[in-house]
Amino acid sequence: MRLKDKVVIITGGASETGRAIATGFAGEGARIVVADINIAGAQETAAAATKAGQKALAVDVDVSVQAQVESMVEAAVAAFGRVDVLVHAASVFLSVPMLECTLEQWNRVQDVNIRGTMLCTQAVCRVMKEQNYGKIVLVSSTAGFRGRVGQQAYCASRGALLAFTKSVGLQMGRYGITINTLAAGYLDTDSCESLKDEPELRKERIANNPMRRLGEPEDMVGPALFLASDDSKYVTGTTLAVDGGIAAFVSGVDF
Amino acid sequence: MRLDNRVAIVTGAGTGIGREICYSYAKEGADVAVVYSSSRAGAEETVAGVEAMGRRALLIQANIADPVQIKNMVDVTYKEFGRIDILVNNAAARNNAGLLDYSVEYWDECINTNLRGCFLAMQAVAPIMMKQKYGKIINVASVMGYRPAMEGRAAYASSKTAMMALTKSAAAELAQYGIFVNAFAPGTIATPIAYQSVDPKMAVSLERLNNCVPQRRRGEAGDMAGPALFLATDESSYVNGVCFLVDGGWAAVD
Repeated sequence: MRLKDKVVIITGGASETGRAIATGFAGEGARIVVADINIAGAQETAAAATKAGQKALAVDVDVSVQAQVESMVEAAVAAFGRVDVLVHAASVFLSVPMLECTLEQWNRVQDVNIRGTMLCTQAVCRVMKEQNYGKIVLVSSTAGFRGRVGQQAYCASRGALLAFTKSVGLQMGRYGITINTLAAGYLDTDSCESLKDEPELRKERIANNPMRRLGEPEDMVGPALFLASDDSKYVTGTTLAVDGGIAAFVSGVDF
Repeated sequence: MRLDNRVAIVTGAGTGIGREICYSYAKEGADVAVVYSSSRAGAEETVAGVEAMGRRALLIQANIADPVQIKNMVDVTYKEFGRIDILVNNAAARNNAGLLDYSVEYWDECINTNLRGCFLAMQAVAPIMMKQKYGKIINVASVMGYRPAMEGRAAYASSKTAMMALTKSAAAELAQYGIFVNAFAPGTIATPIAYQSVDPKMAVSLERLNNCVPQRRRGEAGDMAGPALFLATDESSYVNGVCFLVDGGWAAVD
C-alpha cells in the first residue's frame, strides 16, 4: 500500500472528486480527515473511507475562516498525531457575465478559492515543517490556464493557484515539503462544469476533447495519489493537467 | 502489481534514468526491451537487473535517429513479446557548443537523436498500439524545454522544446485509438551523461546548482522512476498531451 498509515486531510471532501480521492487513498492505507462546509456530506465520505478500510474523521470547516482552518489541522493532529498530506479540493464556482458580476460575488470566490488555499496550506506547512515531511496537492482547474465565458472570477481564482504553488514550492522544498497542483478539465459531476443543463455545449466539449469524453472523479484519484506518494519525491512547484489532452487541440468550441 | 504482464520498450536504457525506469517497470510486473546505442555493458547490466526481478528482458542495439533500426527495434520486440504497451523515449544526445561554434553536423546529431528519434519511434510503434486499442507513450523532455538559457545548450534545448510540442500533436491524433502520449521534464540530474557533457570549468557551478534548487539537491535518476511509472499505468487515465516538471522546483524560481 502506497499511503500506509499516512494522515491525509482532504478539504472539499464532500464533493464527488473529494470523495473519490478519500476512498481511493483509504484503500492505499491512509487515515483520512474529511473536511467540508457540508458536514453531512463530509460524514458520508468519512463513512465511505472507513468502509474502504481505514479510520476517517469528518470536520466541519469553512476554509476561508482562519480559526476554522486552524481547528481542522488541530483536529487532525489530535486524532492521528501528524499531517502527511493535504489534498485541497475545496472551492466555489461562479458563472456571471463580466459586466454583471458584483463585488460581493467576486469576493466570495476569491475568499474561498485563494484565501482558503493560503490558509490551509500555511496551517499544514507549520506541522509539516516540524515533521520535515509533507505532500500538498492543490486541486485547481484548466480554467486557470484559459478563459471561459462568465467565469472571470473563477478563472482568476484558479490561475492564482498555479503561481501560488510555485512560490510555496520554492520556499518549502528545503523542509521536505512538496506542493503541486492538479488542473482538472471538465469533469462529469453534478457541478455546473458538467454542462448537464446545456446538452449542445456538452456535446461540443466532448467532441473537442482528444479522448472524446469528459473526465470522471475517478480520473483524479491516480494523479492525486501520484502527487501524495513518494513516487513524486522530486516533483514540486509544478502543475499537472488532468484534462484528456484538451490543451493539445485548438479550440473548436463556438461560445 | 501496477503493470502486470505489460510490455515496455525503453530507449537509452544502458545508463541513468533509462535503467531506473526499466527497473521500476519490471518491479511492477512488466517485460522490458532494453534499448541502447553505445552503452552495451550498461545495457547488459540493466537486462540482468530486470531478469533478477523475474521478468523477461530483451537486449536491443539501435541508433535512435535511424528509421531502419527503429523499425527493427519495434519488430523484434513485438515478435518476442507479442504486444507493446509502453514506449519510453528516453535516449538523448546531450551536446554542448556556443551558438557561433555549432557545425551543422553537430547540430543535426542532437536534433536527430532527440527529436527525429522520438518521432520515428512513435510512428513505428503506433500502428501496433492502435491495433491493441491501448498504448502509453512517455517522452523524457527536459527543464530546458521550459527555461532553455544555459550557455552552449541551443540544440539540446531546442530539441526538448520541440519534443513537448510533438507530444501534444501526437496525443491529439492518437487519443481516439486509446493511446496516451505524455512527457515529463527532468531538472538538473546527477547522471553520468550529465557530468560527461559538462565543461570542466563549470564544475564549481555544478556544486552551486544544489543551492539553486528548492529541494536543495540535484535530482537522482531514481527520482524519475515514479513519474515514468505514473504515466505508464492506468492511474493516468485522463492525463494526455501533458508535460510536467520533475525538477525539485527549480523552474518555479523567478
